[in-house]
Amino acid sequence: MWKLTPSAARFAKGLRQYHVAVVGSGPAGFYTSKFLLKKDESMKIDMFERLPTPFGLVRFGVAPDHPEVKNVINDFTAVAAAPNFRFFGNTEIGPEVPLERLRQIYDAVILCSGASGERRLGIPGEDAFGVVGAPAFVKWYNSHPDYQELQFNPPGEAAVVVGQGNVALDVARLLLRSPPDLHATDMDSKAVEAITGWQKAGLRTVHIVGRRGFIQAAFTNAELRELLTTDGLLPVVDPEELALCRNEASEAELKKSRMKQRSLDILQKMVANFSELESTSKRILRFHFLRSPLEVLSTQGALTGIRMSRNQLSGEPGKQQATPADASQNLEVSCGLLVRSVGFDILPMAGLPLSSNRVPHRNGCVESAGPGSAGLYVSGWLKRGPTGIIGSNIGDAKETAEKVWKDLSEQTTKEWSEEPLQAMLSSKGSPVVLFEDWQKLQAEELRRGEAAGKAAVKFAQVPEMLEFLHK
Amino acid sequence: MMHTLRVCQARFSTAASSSPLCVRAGPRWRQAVRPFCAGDEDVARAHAFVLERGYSPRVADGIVDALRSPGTGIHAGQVFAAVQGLAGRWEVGEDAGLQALAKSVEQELSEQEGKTMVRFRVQPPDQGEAFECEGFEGMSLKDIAEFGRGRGADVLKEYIECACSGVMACSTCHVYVDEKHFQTAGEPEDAEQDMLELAFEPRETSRLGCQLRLRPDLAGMTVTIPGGANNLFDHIPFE
Repeated sequence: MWKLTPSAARFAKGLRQYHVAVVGSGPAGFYTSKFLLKKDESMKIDMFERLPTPFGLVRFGVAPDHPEVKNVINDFTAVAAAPNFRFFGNTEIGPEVPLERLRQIYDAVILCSGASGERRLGIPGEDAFGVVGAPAFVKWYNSHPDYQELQFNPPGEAAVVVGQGNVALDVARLLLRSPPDLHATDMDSKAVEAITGWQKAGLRTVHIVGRRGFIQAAFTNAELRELLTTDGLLPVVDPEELALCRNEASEAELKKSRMKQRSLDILQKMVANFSELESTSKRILRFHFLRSPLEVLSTQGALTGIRMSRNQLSGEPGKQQATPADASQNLEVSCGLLVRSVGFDILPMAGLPLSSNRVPHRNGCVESAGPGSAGLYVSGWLKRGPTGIIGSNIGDAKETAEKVWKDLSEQTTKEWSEEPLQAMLSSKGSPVVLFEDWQKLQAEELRRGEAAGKAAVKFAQVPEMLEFLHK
Repeated sequence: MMHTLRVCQARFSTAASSSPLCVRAGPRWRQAVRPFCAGDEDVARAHAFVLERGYSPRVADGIVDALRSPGTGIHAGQVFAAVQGLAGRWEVGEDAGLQALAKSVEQELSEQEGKTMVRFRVQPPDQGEAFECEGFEGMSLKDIAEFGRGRGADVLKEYIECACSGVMACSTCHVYVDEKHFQTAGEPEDAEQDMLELAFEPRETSRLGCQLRLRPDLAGMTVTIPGGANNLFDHIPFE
């Protein structure tokens, strides 16, 4: 007995196809689209992306020397090839294409626009020239059009990265990688030139600073392990500081976590490097644990260093907090570049309820979304908060897709007309970029890369992209 | 053979280029094939192109022969164009059927070389029954999910994502292996364990599907798909 698929069943009943709008083309947008199409391959999905290029942080957040992490683009490209999927790039949801209008014409609208803001340290002197957030720094070297104007002073001999996640490791590692290694990646050429210049002018050490111990740190073993074999780079850990991390509650945490036990093995190899600190000719990546930045030091508005407290851990295993010890244990480190890697943050958006910087939702359906006939949904960082990696979006996207599908199956489809959408798209100031246009950009980036001995040379300005596409 | 046909047709229906090819790579391709003449430039170019894409000479032979066999509708002088069409936009990492054809050729070669077919079982997360599954020794679970045959392979395909194309840069293909066969398969290397740590509810018997390769001594193993294939990296792994 041949079983009708849900979409065939609906056609059989004479119902029309659902039309869904997805805002944002990163992992959240693409995974949500993928799972929606799995549930109902007749569903029409229109994806809107502010930039001409898709893929969000896969394009702008992944470190240039980790190209294999970007392989998920193949998966997303297959989704984009689905007959019922359309991509509208260079199309911002805002005054020209309002969210309320989308909610009027579509059956459901799913916001997957991520978290473009950044968290700050909240300490005096933080606005000195030379202090930059990791989200901005990473987008700068990854050719994001909005971050190409970033300016720096030469850092001198040392830079400091505050934070102990994988993003902090990325920033530190890339500041210290050999120029030929950097050049071969798809890192923006301006950034390669800048970092190369900084190294030539004396940049030798990057300090990575975290307020708690290594057992509480968020970095993962693959990234930690790779530092041991990165050419020209010596990762070091102070054995005394490592020992300080192993208070009773932390030992209890360590015992329960095989992952952290493996981290300890790796860090102990870095402890073995500590004795080479003075004699090595390699560039140094130095970990500091149990240190919090207290104040940014500067001269005439330009960063010169950072003062940090020594912390102690207190509290139950799994919930330990860092509290500063007395000022006599403070440490001052000179540096000309300070990168704050303490998290992304969700930015406000018109028509989106926010409560304590989080969107209130139930299984991805936005609560109190206000008037507007289509359901409003969220997926990805906008839904969970800005933590996690590409794969973290899979379960999340499945949940939102299930919820959207369930809600849609309980309502009739709207009468669809292309006209309102096309009217908005054709009257907006800047031309729409379709997925096949993006593929031309991509092929050109690869071609330019091959000519330059790089994995790719990315377009870094929107006007340049539009000109190349003759729009 | 029918499987290869199905795979190729599935590929062609999603490919950007619309190629009406209908290709069989089975024992039949060994019959009635024109001998490869040194002067046959079109075939030589096709063969070289396949080698450039990274396939072995034997697989290249198989692909070219399959395209030249009767019934494909590809005439003399068109083989190179056909292979290019199958490769699609390979410069940007896409494929329009060449991979599937190559896999099919590899499987046929395996059959002929007498490689062992290894049978095992796949236990989906939410249903009671485990399915039979099979693959040639040397195939990984990811290979089976993408190119395998039968119900078990279909189940694998439904439940196992592969975000990073099989290079241990994610943990979306995470599975549990039954205790006994986990021991037989051997400890995963560091790089694999690093990724397993980030998987959904990893266990002592966790493996990545892209790294777990079939061997005759793994016959009868049961592979269980975890409840969620996501990486919960935002959860610091201690309580």
